[in-house]
Amino acid sequence: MKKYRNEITRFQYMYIVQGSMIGVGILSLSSTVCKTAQQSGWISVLLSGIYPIYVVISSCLIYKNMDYLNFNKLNQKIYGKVISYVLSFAFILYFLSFSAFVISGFTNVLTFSTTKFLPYYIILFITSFITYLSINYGLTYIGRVSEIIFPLTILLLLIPLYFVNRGDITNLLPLISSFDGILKAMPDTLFSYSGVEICFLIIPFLSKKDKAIKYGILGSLITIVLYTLTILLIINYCGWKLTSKLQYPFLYLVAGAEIPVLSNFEPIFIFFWGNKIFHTISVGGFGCSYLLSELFNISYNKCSIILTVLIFFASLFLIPEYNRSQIVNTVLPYMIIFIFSWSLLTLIISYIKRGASK
Amino acid sequence: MADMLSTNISENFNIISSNIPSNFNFIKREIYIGENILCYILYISGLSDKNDIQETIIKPLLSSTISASDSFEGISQDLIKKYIYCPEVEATTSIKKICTEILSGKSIILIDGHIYAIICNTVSSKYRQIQESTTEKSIQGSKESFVENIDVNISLLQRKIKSSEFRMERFTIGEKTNTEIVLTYVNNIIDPKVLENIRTKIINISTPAILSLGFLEQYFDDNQYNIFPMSKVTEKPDKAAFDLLEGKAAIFISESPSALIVPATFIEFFQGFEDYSDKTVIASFSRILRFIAIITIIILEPIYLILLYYNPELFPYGLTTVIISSRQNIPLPPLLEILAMDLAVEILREGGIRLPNPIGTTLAIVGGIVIGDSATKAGLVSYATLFIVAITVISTFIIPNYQMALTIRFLRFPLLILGQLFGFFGLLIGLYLIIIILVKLENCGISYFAPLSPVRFTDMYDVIIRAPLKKVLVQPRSLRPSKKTKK
Repeated sequence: MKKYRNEITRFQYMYIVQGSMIGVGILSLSSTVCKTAQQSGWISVLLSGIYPIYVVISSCLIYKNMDYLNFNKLNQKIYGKVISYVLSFAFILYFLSFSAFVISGFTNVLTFSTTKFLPYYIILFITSFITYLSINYGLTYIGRVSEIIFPLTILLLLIPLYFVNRGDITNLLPLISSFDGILKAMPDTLFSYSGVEICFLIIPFLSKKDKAIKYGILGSLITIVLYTLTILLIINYCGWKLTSKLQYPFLYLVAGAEIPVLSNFEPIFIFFWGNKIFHTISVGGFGCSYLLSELFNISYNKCSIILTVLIFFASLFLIPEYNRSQIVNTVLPYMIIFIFSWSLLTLIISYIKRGASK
Repeated sequence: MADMLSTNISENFNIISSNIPSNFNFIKREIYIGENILCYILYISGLSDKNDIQETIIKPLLSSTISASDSFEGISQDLIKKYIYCPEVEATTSIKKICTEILSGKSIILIDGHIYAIICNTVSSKYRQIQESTTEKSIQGSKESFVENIDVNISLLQRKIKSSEFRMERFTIGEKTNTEIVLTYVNNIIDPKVLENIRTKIINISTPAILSLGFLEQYFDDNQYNIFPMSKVTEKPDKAAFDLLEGKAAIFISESPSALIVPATFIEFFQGFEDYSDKTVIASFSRILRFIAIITIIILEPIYLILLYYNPELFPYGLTTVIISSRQNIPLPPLLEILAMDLAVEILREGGIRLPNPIGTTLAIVGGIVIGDSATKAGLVSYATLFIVAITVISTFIIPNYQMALTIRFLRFPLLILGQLFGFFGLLIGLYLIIIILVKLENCGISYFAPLSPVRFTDMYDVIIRAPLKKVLVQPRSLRPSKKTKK
C-alpha cells in the first residue's frame, strides 16, 4: 500500500487556501458581474470576498472549539453518527462537483483557445490522470506543489497590469452604478470563491495550529485582490458593455497585446493559469478522496482512483460550456447555502459544547 | 573453510592460499627466527611495499633472539612489542580477516606452533600524485583533488576541517570485492536522523561488487527509475569540506578518486562552488543566468515545435516572415527536424567523452559545424531550427554538475513528444508532472526540492541569488529535519 502523508505547514495552508479558489471563474467572472452591476462589478467581487474570509475564520473557530478532531469525528460529536454520515456524503458530493466543474471549465477554455485541435475527452482524461498523480500521496505533497505554484499567482496578476495604461478610466465611472446591482451581482461571484471550503477538512493537518486564522485570511486576501484587480482592469480596458457580452473577457484581454516573440499573452496566460487549475482540482480531489476514505474506511489511494474515474465521467456531462454554466448556476447556489448553514450551525453548537465542557 | 588458525603452519598456509584468488603474485617468504621457529611472511606482490616488508619485518625478525620458552605474553605479542618496526600491527586468529587483509595489501606473519598471526600494514603507497582535477577546474580555490588512495583522501579532508567533531566510520561492502567504504561527517553539524538514514542505507547494501562511486550512488536512490541525481560526486576536497560543514556526509570508497556527497538537493546542482568566491552581485548574476539556461533547455525546443506545428498564429508578424522563409522546402516535419539535430548533438557529445581530450573537443566543434552546415545546405533542417537547437545545446554547458546536466538534457525529449501530441497542453502537463515528481522525492529524510518546497525562507539566501557570505555560511535549515526551531 502506498504511504501517504497529510501534514502541512502554515505557509502551505495559506497557499492551498489561496490556490483553491483560482478556477475558471477568473476568466468569466467579469462577464457575469458586469451584466448586473455594470462598471461597478469589481465592487461586487470585492464585497463577496467576505465569503472566503468567513469560511477560513469559521473553520478555524470550529476546530479550535472541538480540539482539532478530524472532520468526521467532529460531525459525529456534534450531530451524531447518522447525520454525520449524511453530512460527509454531502461534502463528498460538493467536492466532487466542484472538481468536475473546474475540470470541465478548464477543458472548455482549452478547446476554445490554444488547443482547438484536441478532442475534449482527451483533455479531460489527461487532466483527471494528473489529478490522481497529484493527490495519491496525500495533502503534504499537494501543499508542496502549492508552494511551487504560488509565484505563478503573482505572474497572473502581472499580465493584466500590462494593460493599466491601455484602458480608459471613464469606463469605470461613475464608480457606483447602483447599490441594487452591486448587491444582486454578489451571489454570482460566489462560485469564483468556492473551493475555499477545503478549510473545513485540512485544519487538523496543520503542523502548527496557532495563527491558522491569520494565514487563512492572508491566503483569501491574495485571491480577493487578484480577482478584484483583474475585473477592474478588464472593465477599464473593455468597458462593461463589451465585457458583459464576452464569454471569457480575461482571455480577450490577454489576447489584445502583441509582445516580442509571441503575438499575444494567451499561451503564457494559459500556461500559468493551467498550473493553478491543476492545483485547484487537486485540492477538490483531495477533499473528496479523504472524505471517501474516512466514510467508507477504504484506503486513501483506492479512493483517489475512484475519485479520478468519477471526476472524469462527471465532467463528460459538463461539456460544452453552456451545459456547464446551466448546471453550475442551478446547483451551486444550493451547495453554497448548505455549506454556509452547516458552518454557521456547527460554529454555534461547537461554541456551546466548548462552553459545556469547560 | 576453518574459521580460526591452528598451530600447524602448513595447514594454515594451505587454507589461506586456497582462499587467495591469485597464485603467481601471492608470495610466501620462509624465515627462521630466534631458536629455529619457522615463520611465513605472506603478501601479494604489487599490493604490498617490498622495501617496507624487508626493512620493517624481515630484517628485525631475522635478528631476533626470541624463544618459545622465554615468551611471557606469547610469541606474537613479543614480536609486535620488541621486534617489528611496522607502525600498524595487530594479532589475529581469524582466517577470514587474514584473507581480506592480504588482498588489501597487508602482510601476514604466520608462526609455527602458534595460533596467532600478525597483520602488518605494508600497503604500497605508490599511488597517483595529488594533481589538479581535470573535470572540476578551480579558478580561485585550491588546485588539489582526491586520488585513488582512501587514506590520502581522508587526510586531505581532515586538513580542511581541523575539528574534533570530524568523524569517520568504516564499512566493508561487496561480497566479491570487499570494498572499503569510509563515511565521514562533522558530528555536531549533521542531523542525527540524516546520519542514521545514511548509515542504514550503507549497511543495507547487498551486492557482489562495488567498483566505483557510481555503483554506490545508485544504492542511495530509493527509486531505481528516478532520473534526478540524489547525490553529488566531487573530486575536490574543498567542495567536500564545504558540504560537510553544511551538514552532509562524504563517502569514500577504496580506489576511487572522488567523494560521494549525500544527501543532495535539487537546487544545489545549479550552485557552482566558485559562486562563493565571487562577489555577491556577480555570483547572483551567474545563478540567474543558470536558471534562465535551465528554462531554455527544457522549454525552448517544445515551444518552438508547438508554435510551428499547432499555433503558428502566435508568431508575431515580423517573426512569421522570417520563420516561413527559413522553412520553405524543408521536407521533414518540425519534430523530426528538431529530434534529428538533437540526436546528432547527443551522439557528438557521447563521442567527445569517449575520445581523448583534444580529439574529443575537435570532434565536437568540427562535427557540430559540419553537421549543422551540411544539414541546412542540404535543405533538411531550417536555419531557425538550427538556431534553436544550438541555443539549447549551449545552455546545457552552463549547468555546473554533469549528472544534472544530463538529466535536464533528457527532460526536453519527453516534453518535445508531449508538445507534439498535445500542443501547449502537453507542455503544461509535462512541466506539472516534473513538479509533482520533484516534490515527492525525498533523500535521506530530506525533501529533494528543499528549500523551495517545503519553503525555508532562511535558506532562500542561497538559491536563485547568492546573498553575502555571512548569511550564506550557516547550516541550511532544510538539512535539519529533526530540529523544528531555528538555532
